[in-house]
Amino acid sequence: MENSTQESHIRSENSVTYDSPYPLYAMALSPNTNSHPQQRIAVGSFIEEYTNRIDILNFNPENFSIKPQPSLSFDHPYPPTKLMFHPATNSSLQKTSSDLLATSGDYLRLWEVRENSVEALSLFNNSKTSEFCAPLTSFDWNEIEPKRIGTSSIDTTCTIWDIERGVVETQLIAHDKEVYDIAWGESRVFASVSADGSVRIFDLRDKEHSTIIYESPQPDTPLLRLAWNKKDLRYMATILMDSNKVVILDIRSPTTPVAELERHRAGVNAIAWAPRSSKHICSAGDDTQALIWELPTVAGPNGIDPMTMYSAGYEINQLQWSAAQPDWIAIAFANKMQLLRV
Amino acid sequence: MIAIEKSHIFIFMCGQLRKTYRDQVHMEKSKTRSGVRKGAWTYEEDKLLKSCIRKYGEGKWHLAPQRAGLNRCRKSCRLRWLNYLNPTINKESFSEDEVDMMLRLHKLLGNRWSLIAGRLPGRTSNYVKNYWHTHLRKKVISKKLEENKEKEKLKETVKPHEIIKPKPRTFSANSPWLNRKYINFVTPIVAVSTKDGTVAKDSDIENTMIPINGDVDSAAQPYTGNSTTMWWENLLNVSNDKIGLCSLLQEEDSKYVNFLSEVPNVNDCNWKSKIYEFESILDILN
Repeated sequence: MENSTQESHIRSENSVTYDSPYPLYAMALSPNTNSHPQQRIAVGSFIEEYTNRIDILNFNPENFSIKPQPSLSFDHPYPPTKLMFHPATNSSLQKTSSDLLATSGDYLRLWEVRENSVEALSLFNNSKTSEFCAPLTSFDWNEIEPKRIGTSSIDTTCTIWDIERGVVETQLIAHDKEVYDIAWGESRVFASVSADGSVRIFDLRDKEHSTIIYESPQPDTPLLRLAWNKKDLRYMATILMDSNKVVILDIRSPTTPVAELERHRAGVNAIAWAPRSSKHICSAGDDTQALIWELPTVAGPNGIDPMTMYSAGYEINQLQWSAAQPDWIAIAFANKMQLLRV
Repeated sequence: MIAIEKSHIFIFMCGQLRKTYRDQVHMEKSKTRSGVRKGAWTYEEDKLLKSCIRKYGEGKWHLAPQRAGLNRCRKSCRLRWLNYLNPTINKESFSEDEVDMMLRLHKLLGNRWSLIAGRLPGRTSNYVKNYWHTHLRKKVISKKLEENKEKEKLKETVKPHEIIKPKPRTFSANSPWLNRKYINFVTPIVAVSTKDGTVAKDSDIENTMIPINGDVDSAAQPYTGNSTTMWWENLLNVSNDKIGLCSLLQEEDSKYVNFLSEVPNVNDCNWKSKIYEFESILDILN
């Protein structure tokens, strides 16, 4: 790497590690700033059995401490594929010490995380004929319209839920194969990626059409994750299975990526845009590295180098960029969850 | 702890969920409304029923499920015994004579399997029926076709949950989406170099991107003006940016890359320590 001298490295004094009793996969950081500077973090176990766990941790960035809250740990059937806190930071919905947490896996579920207890609020099943619904790979909570949650499923559909009324707003056959991830852009616009290798945009005002804005170069290379840049909705990022690339898309120039970030040395597993900057994205993968990239206005001839890199020593499976405290990034690998100050 | 393939925890997870779901649906389908099992008998269930009948004898079928410890209804137990488990049943394949007899009897009696079986010692009506359907029915093709048609009709009338299948559109190089009539941004993302090596001007680009004959595949048809404002317009009308990316994939053409005017130089920002220095700039721009 020619430009490696320009890269900065995150040092160990800028990180905090939490050791879990079990391997971790899903992870969410609460955007709720009511108990500032304390921040709630939810981590989901990855145990190959029916009973899995979700633990709630309290992170205090001022003294670099992560404290598990044993009274707030609860069972979850199967490993959760995604965790997410209610996106509205200071809405009236959010009581001081209570957070809404959504989980996906066998169903979409809503939990209320209170001061000393967690209550299962609801379970959403989109199947009218069966007590089971097809497994959910992921979901996204609509920030602008928080009563809306969109889920993606292995049965090729995306379901838009009105969680206040507990009803299906729409169910769409979104792709030709498993849908792996979904992301909201606007209140009525979402995009999804799939094992069929395409990124498609949907508008709830025109359910008869979707728009393919990218297809993986080798047909049917699955696209695993999708991140829509919330600070500049023209940009999205996606990753391909078994690929070291982070593909940056501009919806104004469909079909051709506007950039490809290719400095990982193994498959990329997770991506996250900076919550308060439109130009920064973090990626993490099997090369044990978390890389932060600044998208340049003009590309150099040799591609783009990351501006910051961090090595975890293990394959990193998960990555979240804290919206409440944007100088912190959380990663998960093996039995650990680690917070990095950038 | 589990040893799994280290990469693709996510894909592995989806696979596990899929398997579980399949099992759940299978079990659900094999239950009647009252919650007892139906469908294929397992080896274990057969064993339980056989030992129960050995102990209590045939008959009193309403007591059989309880006696045998089976989650089956009495009818299911009785049929399993009479059609399969009963040791007097001749389970060998049908002889030529038997098949001949069966064909002649069927011609006479139609699908009255118990009557046909009554003429074939050691054979149950169920056996005869199954044999007929797997081996002999093919000879009456027209009948089969009619039956299938009826089944399909039945399927069509059952309409569960309405699920919409949006028609996907793709873009082609000459898609009107890329035409500046629809896309309202000032600088093209990629400057197109013309044959003589100069950077094409806006007007040239407009010409090259107008679809041939103005006639485009309907699948690539953009929203027309008479529909309500669609989301793209909102998205694309975000202030004409100074922070946009040039296409970074056109490296070989980088000398033609249209350097967006007055790009704020953020490269010398120390991002590590001051993440917000240019955030304020972005706030203004957006």
